[in-house]
Amino acid sequence: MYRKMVVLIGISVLCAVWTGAAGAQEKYPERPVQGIVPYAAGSSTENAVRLLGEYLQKYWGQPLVVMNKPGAVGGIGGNELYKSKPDGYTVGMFNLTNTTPELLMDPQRFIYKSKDLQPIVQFSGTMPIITVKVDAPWKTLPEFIEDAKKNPNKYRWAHHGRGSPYWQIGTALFQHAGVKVLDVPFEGDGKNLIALLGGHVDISVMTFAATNREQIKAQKIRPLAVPAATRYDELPDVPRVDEVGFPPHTIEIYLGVFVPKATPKEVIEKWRAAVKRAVGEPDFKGRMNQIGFPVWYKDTAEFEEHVVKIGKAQHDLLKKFGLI
Amino acid sequence: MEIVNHLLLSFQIALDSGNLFWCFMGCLLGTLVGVLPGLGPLASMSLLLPISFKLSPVHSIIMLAGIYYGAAYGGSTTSILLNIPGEACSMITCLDGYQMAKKGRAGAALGISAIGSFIGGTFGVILITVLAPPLAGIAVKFGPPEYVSLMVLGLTFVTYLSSGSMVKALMMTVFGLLLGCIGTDLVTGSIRFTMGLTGLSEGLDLVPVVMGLFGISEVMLNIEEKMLEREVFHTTLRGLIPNRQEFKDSAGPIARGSVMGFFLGVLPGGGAILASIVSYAMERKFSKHPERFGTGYIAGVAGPETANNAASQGAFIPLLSLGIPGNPVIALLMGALIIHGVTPGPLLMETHPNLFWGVVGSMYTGNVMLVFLNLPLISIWVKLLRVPYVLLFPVILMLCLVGAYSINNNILDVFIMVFFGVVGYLMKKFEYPAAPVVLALILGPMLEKSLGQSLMMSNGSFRIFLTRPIPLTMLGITFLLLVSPLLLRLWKRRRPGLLLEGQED
Repeated sequence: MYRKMVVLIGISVLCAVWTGAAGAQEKYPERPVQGIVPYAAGSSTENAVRLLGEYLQKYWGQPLVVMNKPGAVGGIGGNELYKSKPDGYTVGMFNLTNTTPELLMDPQRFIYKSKDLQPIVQFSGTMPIITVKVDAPWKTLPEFIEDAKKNPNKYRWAHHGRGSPYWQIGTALFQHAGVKVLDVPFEGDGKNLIALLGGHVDISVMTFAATNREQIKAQKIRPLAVPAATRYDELPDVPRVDEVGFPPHTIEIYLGVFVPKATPKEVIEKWRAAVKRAVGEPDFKGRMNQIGFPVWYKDTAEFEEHVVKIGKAQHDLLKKFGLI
Repeated sequence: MEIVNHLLLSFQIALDSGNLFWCFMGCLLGTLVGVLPGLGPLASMSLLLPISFKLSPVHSIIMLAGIYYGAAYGGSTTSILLNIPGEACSMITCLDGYQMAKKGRAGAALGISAIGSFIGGTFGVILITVLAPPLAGIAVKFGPPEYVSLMVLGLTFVTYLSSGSMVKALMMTVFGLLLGCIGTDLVTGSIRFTMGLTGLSEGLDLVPVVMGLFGISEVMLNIEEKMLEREVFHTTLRGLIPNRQEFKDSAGPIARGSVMGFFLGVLPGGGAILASIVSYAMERKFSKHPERFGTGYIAGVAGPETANNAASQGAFIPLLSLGIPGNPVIALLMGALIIHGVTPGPLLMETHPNLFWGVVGSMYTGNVMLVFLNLPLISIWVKLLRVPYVLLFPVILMLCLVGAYSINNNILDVFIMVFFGVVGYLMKKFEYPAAPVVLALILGPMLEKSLGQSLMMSNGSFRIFLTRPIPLTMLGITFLLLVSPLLLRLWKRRRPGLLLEGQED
């Protein structure tokens, strides 16, 4: 009697362990995967994520569900990812604002450190541009700098908040040129654009996505330079900042897929392969560009290095300006 | 002449059977979303976004837009019947709408709400048709200093939001301003008063606070007072339509609400809730019977409901002409457009005229559908009041709890709502008005942020508010509003014949 029970229990335990171990891993994903987007519903990042999700659903038969977790400049989204089960059913669609928390401002809003996240792949990013209103008197960036030199504290420039990547770009630029331009923070591209169009600021650092592209096409605003490593395809005549007398800008605003560190290797590999495949599809680039996103792909190892490099570069810049 | 062409094109597209169907679906869903407290257009639209991908761009935008302005219609239903706002923008409707329901005029309140919403919405669409580009030009003129002056003017309206003690109203305003300090300061990036909770680093979300202060507290109050003997509102069919006097009293508020609501909606950051508050305050200020507000005066329902619908339409202007979303819901619509390959911008009218005018046309048909949807439904909603409260309140509570979570998928919002529910309950018991808290919570952070931006623009100088025309004008109006009671009294003293009883000389 007693022996029978032990045997029975033993077999059932074995069965349970066996089925568990056989694992959903081979069949990953078995159910919808949640993609954390650390911005409120309707953000442009969400559009890129949904587009990628379309392809992933084609391959896997499971949808990528966007989970909006806005706030604390990526802090809430990042914390959410850190707290989630490392089984690959929750991933983070993050950029450089929340992947190297201890190197940035206000690290206490994060409950994790860089080492707690595993970067899988980079698939896109944000392209910053420096723009003025089309009826502004300056046709090139050096012209603006000249004017600003003669008129300190007269001109105003718009960014997304002190410490943000856009602020880093502008501040580095103006410091290098040695000009005094008043900085004004705005929450988001929309408000930034209005400020420029309404003449409340004279020059702006904004993203080259969606709406702003339309404004450039409609000839309401003019891009003066791009703070990037290469000229943008859609703006072939707009010079890089290092072509007009400034140091090259190396802090790329990447967009990639992240998971908690303990996530199984098989899952990471599945993601890597799937995103690589999506990026390679013939219409992916066109569709991404249409919604205002570039296709910048980096495989796992390269991306890991990239994340560290960008984190350090931000840290150095923030330190240089006395913010940390 | 071009306007006529545009109108014809809009109707041609809007009256296409596919578009009509999706417009109807959107309006129906929107009304439902509006009626259910807690569930808001943002959450429901993002849920439906994937479905909309299967549709053509025009169909999906028409449907999503229908949800958005449909919600502005439905939000007043529970405000009037249960004193619980279905949407944050219907908060003000609770003040007089519920009192009207208590007096047996629930049907009239619901009716004028639907009618006013229709007039406000249609007025808004007409202005969009005719004035989209110039209006966008005005929106762009509003920079930080203009917003500062607008917020200052708005804060003076707090005095018109309560029927009781002015001291208590002002205390609640300060409370709201303090609550508005929670979060991240835009200028310095420093995090304040979040008590270590990352969830508060963006500040208090408005919807859980409103749901708590008005909704949860009301449920708690009712459970305490009349769980067993809930008074049934007796409303006959006759009572479903506003009577002639009520129509007369509503005409002015509706007219003013439409105009003012629309313009406030055009300004990014303005919005439906601000429009409804300002309308209420304005009507009260310029009314011949200010003392009637708060006791069930139809003007206090007609004005705000019209204004919030007009504002919802107005919010489309920055999107359709500039490609800039004025509030998170419009941002979602914009995201939907972008995914469909249509990027809103100044060229939208030229590059996608069918989409542009199709959406505009569907707004006309949408408003018509909504008024025909809402008016007959009134008799059904009124029957809702007959349901024993024992059965009703758990449903309401559940909807509020789920709705609060659905805003940001953040459980903290639910806790915030419950916390403010308790606070609101205590406030109701001790007769402290809740509306000023909400107004201050909206305006306070905007004011501080805009002030910071303005001073950064001016390198620290306050003269920026006096050298620009719009701030100068608005601050002038504010000053006049503040001193007008004093001036009026001085004026009356100089003319002894006008002295009223009780005034000393």
